[in-house]
Amino acid sequence: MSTDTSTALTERTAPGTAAPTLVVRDLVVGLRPQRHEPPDALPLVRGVDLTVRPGQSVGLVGESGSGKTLTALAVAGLLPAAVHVQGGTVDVAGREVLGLPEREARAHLSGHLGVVFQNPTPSLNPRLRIRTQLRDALPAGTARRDAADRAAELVRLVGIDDVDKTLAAFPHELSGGLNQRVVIAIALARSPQLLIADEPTTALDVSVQAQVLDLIDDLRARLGLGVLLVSHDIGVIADRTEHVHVMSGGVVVESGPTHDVLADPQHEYTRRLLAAVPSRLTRTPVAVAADESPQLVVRDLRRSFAVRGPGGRVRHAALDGVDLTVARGQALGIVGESGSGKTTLARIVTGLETADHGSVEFEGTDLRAQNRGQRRDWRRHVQYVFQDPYASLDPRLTVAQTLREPLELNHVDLPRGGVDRRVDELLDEVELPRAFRHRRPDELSGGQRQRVGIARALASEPTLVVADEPVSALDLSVQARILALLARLRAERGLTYLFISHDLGVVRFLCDDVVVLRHGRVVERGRTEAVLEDPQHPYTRALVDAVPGRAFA
Amino acid sequence: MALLDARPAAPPTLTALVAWLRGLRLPLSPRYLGGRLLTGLVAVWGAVTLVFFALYSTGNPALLLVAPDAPPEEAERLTRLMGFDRPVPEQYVTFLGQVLRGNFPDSIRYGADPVPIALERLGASLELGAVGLTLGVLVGGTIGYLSATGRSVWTRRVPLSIAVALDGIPTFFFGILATLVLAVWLGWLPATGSTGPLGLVLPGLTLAVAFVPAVARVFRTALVDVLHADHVRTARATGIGRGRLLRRHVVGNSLGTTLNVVGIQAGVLLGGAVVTESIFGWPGIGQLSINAVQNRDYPLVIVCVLVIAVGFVLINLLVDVLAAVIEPRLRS
Repeated sequence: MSTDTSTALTERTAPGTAAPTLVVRDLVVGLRPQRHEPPDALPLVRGVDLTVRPGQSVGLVGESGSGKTLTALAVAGLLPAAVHVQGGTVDVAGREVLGLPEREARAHLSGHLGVVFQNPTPSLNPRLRIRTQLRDALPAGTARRDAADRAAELVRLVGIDDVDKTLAAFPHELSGGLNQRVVIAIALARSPQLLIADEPTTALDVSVQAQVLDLIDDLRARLGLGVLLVSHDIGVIADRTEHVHVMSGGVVVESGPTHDVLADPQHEYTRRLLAAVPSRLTRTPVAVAADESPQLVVRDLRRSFAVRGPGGRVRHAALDGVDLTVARGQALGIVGESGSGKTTLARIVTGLETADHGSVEFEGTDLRAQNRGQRRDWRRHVQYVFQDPYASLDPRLTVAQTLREPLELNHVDLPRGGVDRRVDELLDEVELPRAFRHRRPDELSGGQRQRVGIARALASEPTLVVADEPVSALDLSVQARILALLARLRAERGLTYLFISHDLGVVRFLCDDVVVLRHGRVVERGRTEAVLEDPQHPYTRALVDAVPGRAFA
Repeated sequence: MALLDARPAAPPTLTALVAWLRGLRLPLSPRYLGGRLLTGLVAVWGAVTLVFFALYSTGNPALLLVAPDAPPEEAERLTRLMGFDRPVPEQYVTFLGQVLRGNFPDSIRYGADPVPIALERLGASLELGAVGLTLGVLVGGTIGYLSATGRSVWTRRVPLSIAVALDGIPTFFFGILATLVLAVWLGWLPATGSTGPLGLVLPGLTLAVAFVPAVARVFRTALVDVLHADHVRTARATGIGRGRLLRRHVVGNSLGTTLNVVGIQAGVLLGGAVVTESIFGWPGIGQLSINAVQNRDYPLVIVCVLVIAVGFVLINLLVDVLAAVIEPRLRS
């Protein structure tokens, strides 16, 4: 391990700048060599340099597998057991931590660095009250009496008003946004100088995301924290960081002041990444015949679920009177935050769920009044593309078997060779190599799986495709390619889309019209451009304002 | 169950009682517990009914009571006397009445009320079961803990391998082997037939061996899952020591699944420790039920089934309460 910290030292003592809280030089992270295997050829992170000064926010952006999270975990000393630091230096608050005995390193890091993770609720111990977890996080040797005061103070510091209720709660009784504030409070409990935030808002709704990021910004300014913000979201990076490092394939390909890097990317990869941002994708307009009869009519749809709350079971209205009309060939976007009822709507339209009240008409016939033939047609014509490409394919079936199933069900007359030919055509259509037909889902990447999911939907020759967040689990560049594929399929096949997304940029790219849902009600609807440019309802306005990276887009 | 049985000396009114129960801050709502108890009662009824019809379908027990060379009239007289000639539904209703009143016909073999006989044996079974379960949970838990958190490959692999190997050894063989070594060769412990505390060791150990692998494996899996949980990483980031981290955040959070397995095993113990009881001549309820079945002592069989079924339900209820103590998410 190199002990050469001369560069770090000169930087720290450079006139006019405060001593940096974090200096990383030439960091190399790789898999721990297994006894029976030859050492892995290439480390997972190679030669990363980073500097974070007090009060400064530094971004680390990249796609999955780029090494950004490993870099952050290596700095925090929290790498998973199979991975270890192979070289470089990590200087936290003026002290080199690599090479220190484990206990000493842990003690130094926990005193000077706080960490915030992606999934707030699982990041808290489900068995312990917030009060206990906060007290545990206080520096060792805090007196009992002081601990109670300090815990309450921390909860107030992260902007939670109802201090007593929060302290007495278990994590599962709080929302994701509140839990993330608690995780931040735990990170701040030992008055650190550096905050490492690894995708801190990826699991949260846009409006909550904005609040949590505001909080981090505010703490940075007030406490002079250095912040290392790891994110895949260019918008978040654009809004919240001064300096950015773009990572790809384990190396930093470009770094510099955020504004400069995003405005004038030098590296080929950065350019490709920025071009994949949905709001920057160029869309090809699709002409829809306006006089077409509506394909799908939804009237006064209501659905409620029994939810167990603190006061016993309560009915929660997921859909509270929704009306929709979708014309043939139209692409309608449905946006809303979690709990707005958008997924319930999709499930009812596709028949996976039944409504308590109201009607769904497909091609002029109420779903409940269909005869057998109409029902069969409806099943064939309406197809679903799911959010999670990992969970929505049967892991035991090959791609060909997955695609063959709907073909054999809906086209009984197809000869055997015909089925195989259709499978090949479908693979062509979703731009997958034909050789993939023999692969199983675990041999495919997320984007490839989603292509299989789309091919499966296309297999029964649908006219209406209901897509529930089909790209939200994918990397930016993959997302851009899937969106392009969806746009092309729509133009070629004249498909109708009911496209559900929390991402306004994605909806703007794919959909002509948009419906904004909130608490199971439609709060606004209209042409996508009009609604997003000039929102009328205060909720839509808040939603549009909360989207990060507006200046950048 | 102490939580439920403890009552205030004299509750003035029902509302006061309800308020007092609330004051206990039971981890589970009384309504939930009541529901579970009701389900349990249905299970007991189902078990008893099954046994009634199974016994009925195997023939007339009166025939066994008369001497082989007795005249057929004698058998007929007994059949009528004991009500075995009545229609089945009528017999069933009579039988349910007996169960509800706790008033059973005398045991055919012992010629006495079967309830005290079964309860006495239940005590012996519980004693043996408690020792076996405690030993099994302690040893299995330790092995699971070592195999999940051990620092060297040896601590992680060796104890677990031994436990898995034990799983392949039949109970009777281990029991005999243990008796041979510890009682016959070394003479440290009494071999069979003793009811003193020392006499508990061998049968308890034999019984424990049956639990150790299951407990070890389940506990290990739970620990490994929790070790990779996000909240453990959060706790590590706060600089918490390894021992405290494991105790507070890993072991505590792994107890839930293990508890369920232990609960099922404990229920099985009530009536299923027959092999161990036979080897060591332990007068438990398992042995009693087998003998009762062999003797076609139908009142005793019914009572044994009833006692075991009620015990099963109570143990499950206790497990539910303990699970809610461990896991706050179950409380709502």
